[in-house]
Parts: sequence; structure tokens; C-alpha cells
Amino acid sequence: MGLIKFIKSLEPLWWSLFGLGGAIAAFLFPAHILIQGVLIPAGILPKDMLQYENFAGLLSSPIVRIYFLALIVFPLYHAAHRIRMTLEDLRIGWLNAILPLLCYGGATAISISAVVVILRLP
Amino acid sequence: MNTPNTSPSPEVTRTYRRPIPNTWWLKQRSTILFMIREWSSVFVALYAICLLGQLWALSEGADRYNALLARSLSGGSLVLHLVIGAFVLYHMVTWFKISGRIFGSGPLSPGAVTAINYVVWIAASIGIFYWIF
Repeated sequence: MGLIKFIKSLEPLWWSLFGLGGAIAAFLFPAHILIQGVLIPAGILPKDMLQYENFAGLLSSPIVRIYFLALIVFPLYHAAHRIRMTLEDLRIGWLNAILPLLCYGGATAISISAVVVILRLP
Repeated sequence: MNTPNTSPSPEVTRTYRRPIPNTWWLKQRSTILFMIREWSSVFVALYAICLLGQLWALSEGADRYNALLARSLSGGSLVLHLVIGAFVLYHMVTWFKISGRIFGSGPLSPGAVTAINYVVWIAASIGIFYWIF
């Protein structure tokens, strides 16, 4: 179980990512959810801004790509840390031993796929 | 039995370890709210994955993207986003409140720090609307 011990020893890193991801989710997610997920489907805002050409055009900027990468990656680590801590509080014996690997490993795997997807954007 | 002020031996500690059921949090309103706050992070992760899905469809080309866009404009998607939005808003409210407790000191009271968070949030939201969209 050397790997789990090593992951646990990186606690300050997980805490920093937790804090940064929590702040990003708190400050930026509500506007994205409201605009993309609610106001446009409800017909209150025009869907033009989400059309392929417009969205691809927006994502052609490196700054916007980095913005979206940060928007995905850090909140994932925030969730990973919180889910780990909460499940540890629930004291599910067999799960606790592998929780750090499962949570941070999952966040890292999805983050790597986010980098790959962003590099493949048109 | 150990007398007071005598530290128990490791064996005694093991013997008297009190079992705590994993439903301990259901007994008080404050711990139920704590659990809701903690589980709001699942919806935070879910939305991050939604964003990744959108970018993935974009990377696959116009056909795939337009198919996802059509689905994301449906009523089901709207309901899903309302549910995610509710949990993310709860995360936001609790996050700003905790920020006040952590960073509030001296002339900046906890309430003032929380209020500044809301001002920054409103500014960021307006910024997202005009810059990104």
C-alpha cells in the first residue's frame, strides 16, 4: 500500500486544489449553469452563442481554452477531496483504504482526458 | 476499569472503542445540512464533466456537437441543470459563509468578507456573460 501512503502524504496539495476548485465552482459555475443550462434551453437567451461556429470560434483562443481547462480540472479535485472526506466520515471500512486512490486518481484521469480533448479542439 | 487520569493501555482502548453507525449524521439538522453541503460536490463534479462532454463533442466535429446541442436544449437537460444549479448555489452560499469565518478579522468582519465575495461573484457573473458569451 505504498502508493496510498504516498497519495496521503500529498495532503497539502489536495487541500490547495480543494480550495481553488471550491472557489472556482462558487464564483464561476452559477453563471455558466444559468446561461448555458437554463436561460438558453428555456428560450430566454438566443441559442446562437452555442452554435458550432460561434462556440468553436470562442474556443480557438488559447486563453479561453485555459479558462475552460481550469473550469473543469480544479472543481474536479475539489469534489474528489470532499467526497473522500465525506465517505471517510461515513466509515465504510473496506472503502476507506482505497478512497484516496479512487478519488484523486479519478480526478486525475478525467483531468488528463480534459487536456487531451482541449488539445484536439478545432 | 481504569481510574481517572490514567491513560488506558492500547488493548483497553481497542476493547472499549465505541461503534458509530454510518447514519450518525441523520440525527441533527446541522449534520444533515453538513452532509448536503458535502454532497453538493458531486454536482460540482457532474457539471465539470458536462463541460468536458461539451468540449469533447466540439472536438469531434460539427455533427457530434450539433447532436449534443439539440439534446442540451431539451426539457430534460433543463431540469438536470436546475438540480445541478440548486446544489452549486448551496455550495456557493456555504463557501462564501466559510470564507467570512476564515478570513474575517480586524476591520473586516466575517460578514464584510462574505459580502465582498458576493460582490466579486456578481462582477464575475456579469463578466462571464459579456466576455465568454
